[in-house]
Amino acid sequence: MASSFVKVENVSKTYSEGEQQHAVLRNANLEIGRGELVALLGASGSGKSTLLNLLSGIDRADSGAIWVDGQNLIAMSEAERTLFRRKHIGFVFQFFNLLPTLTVNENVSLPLELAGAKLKVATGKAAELLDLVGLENRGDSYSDRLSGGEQQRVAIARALVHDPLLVLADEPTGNLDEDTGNQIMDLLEKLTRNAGKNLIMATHNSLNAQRADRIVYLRDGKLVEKAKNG
Amino acid sequence: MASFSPSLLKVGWRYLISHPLQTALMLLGIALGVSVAVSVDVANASAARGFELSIEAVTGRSTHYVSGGPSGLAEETYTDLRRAGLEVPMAPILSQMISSPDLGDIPLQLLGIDPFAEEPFRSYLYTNTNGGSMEQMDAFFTIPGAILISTELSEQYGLQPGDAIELNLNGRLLPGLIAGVIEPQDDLSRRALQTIVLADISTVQELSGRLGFIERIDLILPTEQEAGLIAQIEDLLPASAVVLAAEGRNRTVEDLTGAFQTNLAALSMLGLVVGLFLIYNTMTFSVVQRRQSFGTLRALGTTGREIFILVLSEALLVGIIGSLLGVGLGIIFGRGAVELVTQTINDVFYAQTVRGVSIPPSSFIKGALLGLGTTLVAALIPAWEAAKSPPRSTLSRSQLESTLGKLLRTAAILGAAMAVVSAFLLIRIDLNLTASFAGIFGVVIGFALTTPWITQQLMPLVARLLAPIGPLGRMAPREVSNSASRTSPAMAALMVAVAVTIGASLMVGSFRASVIDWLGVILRNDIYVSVAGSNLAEPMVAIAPEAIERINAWPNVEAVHLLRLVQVESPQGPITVSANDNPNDGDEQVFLEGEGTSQQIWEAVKAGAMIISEPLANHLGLGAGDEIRLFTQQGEKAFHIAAVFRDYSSSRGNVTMWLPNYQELWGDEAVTALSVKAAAGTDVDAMVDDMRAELNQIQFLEIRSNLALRSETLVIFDQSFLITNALQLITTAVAFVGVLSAMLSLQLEKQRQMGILKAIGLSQRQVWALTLLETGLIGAIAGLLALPTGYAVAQILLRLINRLSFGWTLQMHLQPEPFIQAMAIAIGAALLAGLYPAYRATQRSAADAMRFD
Repeated sequence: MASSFVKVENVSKTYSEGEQQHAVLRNANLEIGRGELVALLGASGSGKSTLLNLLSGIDRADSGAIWVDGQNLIAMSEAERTLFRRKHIGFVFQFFNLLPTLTVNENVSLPLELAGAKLKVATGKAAELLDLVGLENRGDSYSDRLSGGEQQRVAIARALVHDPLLVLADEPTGNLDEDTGNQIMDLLEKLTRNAGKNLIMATHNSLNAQRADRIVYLRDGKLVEKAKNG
Repeated sequence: MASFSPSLLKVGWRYLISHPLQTALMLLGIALGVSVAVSVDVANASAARGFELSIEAVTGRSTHYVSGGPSGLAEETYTDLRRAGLEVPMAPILSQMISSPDLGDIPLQLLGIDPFAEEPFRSYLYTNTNGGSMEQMDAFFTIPGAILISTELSEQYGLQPGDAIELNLNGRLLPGLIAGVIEPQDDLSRRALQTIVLADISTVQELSGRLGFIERIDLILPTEQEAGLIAQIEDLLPASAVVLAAEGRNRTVEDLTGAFQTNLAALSMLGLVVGLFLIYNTMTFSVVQRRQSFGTLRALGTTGREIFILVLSEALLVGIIGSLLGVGLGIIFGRGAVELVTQTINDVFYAQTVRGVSIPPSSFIKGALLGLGTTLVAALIPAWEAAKSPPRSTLSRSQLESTLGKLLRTAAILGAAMAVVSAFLLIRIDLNLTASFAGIFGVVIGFALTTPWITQQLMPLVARLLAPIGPLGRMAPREVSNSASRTSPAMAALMVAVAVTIGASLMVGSFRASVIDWLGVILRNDIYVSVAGSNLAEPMVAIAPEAIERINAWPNVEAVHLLRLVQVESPQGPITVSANDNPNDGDEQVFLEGEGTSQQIWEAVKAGAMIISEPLANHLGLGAGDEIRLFTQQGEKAFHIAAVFRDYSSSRGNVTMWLPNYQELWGDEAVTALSVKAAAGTDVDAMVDDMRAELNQIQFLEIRSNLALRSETLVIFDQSFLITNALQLITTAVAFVGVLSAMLSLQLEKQRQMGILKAIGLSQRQVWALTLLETGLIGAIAGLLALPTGYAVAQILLRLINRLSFGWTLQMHLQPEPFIQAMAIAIGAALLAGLYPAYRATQRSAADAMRFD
């Protein structure tokens, strides 16, 4: 395994529902090397999305440490995590989560602009990415006029536009038919591998998982390594 | 009729409960709107009831009265009529406004009566009197200054029969005595006696120094014999006396205050119109937010009609609760409003004491119906939209907004047409006051309907302008434009509230500037004197002749000009005559039309003509060259009108004439005000102080320098608009609640979107900035569009409503302040409304927000 790029150390996360406490992660541990593609498997509600949220800094663990490229997210303030995410994380969601009031190009260029890029630079870069995902002619369309597959391509372009170190994908094909799902996975895999980026993908789909370098199971709040094709 | 499932009602009821903030804001909007209408209704009803009671108390059952003009009638006129053997009830009256430090210094009417002639007229006097029956009370007839007061006054001020009190009559303190206490037998008597004290007519003659004179003789003439009896009575009267109908005496005052009250009622309705936008906004949002649920309900077999009823029943529930709250709140506000309304009536129209608040049942019913009706009307369109939800809702957000785009264009065309037609009718057709207010509503609502569409047209431009500040600069305008379904009604409501604020502020500012200009022309002397406690604009209480003599002989006094202000009878009812002996008065007037130069006009006045003030000219439809007929002591006489002059002192208006001519025609030497021209170099303030010190030993006089009189006039002017300001404030508060509600609704719907933005790197500061930029833009656009609307409203108020209500026309004095203030209010209110939604957006974690759908 290459030197550790992502390190999850004894991370716990509990949600409260009224009086009840629901522990999603219990002293979970994981190490991922630079450039690795990791599939995260687990039953519904096992905490896959929670782990991705913690890795992106969207959510905060109750205890433990999460290191990404040598920086501990848990020690960061909300503002620092936002800046970190803005610069180093790309996110692909199951339900695409595009902004309906922005055009396709604007959706893609937004992370760059938020990070302070000039409009012209941002839209230019967005156009490049849209070209890469095969949507070069849809830049001016509004996102809710696109098909599911097209929306997910836009989401991939958005996740990559600011050249992040880590791409997190939460069930990226969960809302797509099989063929479209495969196309999306081809695209995601190609773009992340070619650029030498890390991809951590939560999925239920075992075929998608087989594309990864490693498969990790989330069970009873713990992360368990699983051999591929095993 | 198909049965309506109780489960469906639960869907509505639980939605309201599960969105408490949204429901609370909707209730607050309805409650505030209703409360404004109810409070003005309560204030108007209390003032009207107070007026009615004082009329009923004084007029009683009299149908006619014999008037002798300002000098009154000789006592013999009454005895002659009595002896003539006419079968007509008649009673002599001599009344006088007084106050007493022992009775709280409130204005009271001292009614001088003949107890033996009174019973047919004012039976409430014949109730239980503490100290024996009225006829048996020796003190009442024999002791100078003996008066009767009601039990209520006696208890309030701790006075008992036999107590001595001081009476302030025409600025002089005279000794009085409580001869007895009257126990009112019914509510009418109780309230009538709150502002009246009684004395024998001879007592009032003594106190007022009018021995041998009475003010009038009240008569009860049967309708069928009216004409014959009037002719018989007039044959017995001297030339100076005339028989007049009792109702005419009060009609003019009723007309004047009626206009004032219509103005207030119109302003109060505005609160409700703004509330209507707010309710529409909230109901629309609740429907849009649940379009999936309605689609599911339809898929499960619920009919469109049932969905329609479901939404309307939610509105009904909210309407009932909001209206009840509004009525309660209105009564609380009404108590405050009564004071403001009464104060204005006192300052501007006539002295009135309103004691107690009348809460007519009709106010409850009107308030509840208005609130309920407004809520249901506002909910009709959303309910209809909900009923149209397809069984599987597939409508995308952009499709929804694009459908709405077409609707906004149609609304804008309709609105523009409404504004143009209303403006055309206002300009071209001679409308009455109520119709004119309806016209203003047409213009304002017309403009309001164009607001959302204009906003959509402006936003791309704004986005380009704000582009340099970064992505938020482009996103915010687009969010505003794309959220039209949520923000339009709130924006329109805010626009209406701000436009009316501009209109009213411009009108008041222009009015104030006109008054200042006018005071500059008419107030040319150094010192002004009238009797303390008399109306500043219409001093009608006589100054003691000794005081006038002293002033004439005062060192450094160059000239003294006398004024007699008095009400005289005319075929059209009482008319105020202002008679002065200022030889330069022609140059101290602003003539709107006249026969010749100002000197020529004043020469004509000296020769016997009159000049008429603009309000009275408008009221009577007279102009220069016409004639006005008045009852003088020498009988009815026609006066030529030489000019119409500007006058803001009274909306009742007056005719001005040369004092010596008045004295000759009415035989009245009284002087009610005077002005002093001091010699050059005199220290006027010192002279005022010296005069106060010396003359107040003769009579309590208001002695003011020119500057003091101007500033006091403006203080009263400003006071008279307090109620207007209060109503405006509440209307703006309703609009504020509207924007807050719209922004909260929007944030609620955009939680997921905000979560995504945060997930891809939007910082907390940027969340604040984006939210506040959006609300700020809503405020700025509403404020911007309110500028021309407010200007149009001000023009209508100045040119039309003021003329119809008060008889005067005003010139627009454009000042930047109302526009700047309005923009500040609009943006400030919108930003303030954005604070809480922005705070909520920052508090919710991105992960939570994205889970929300």
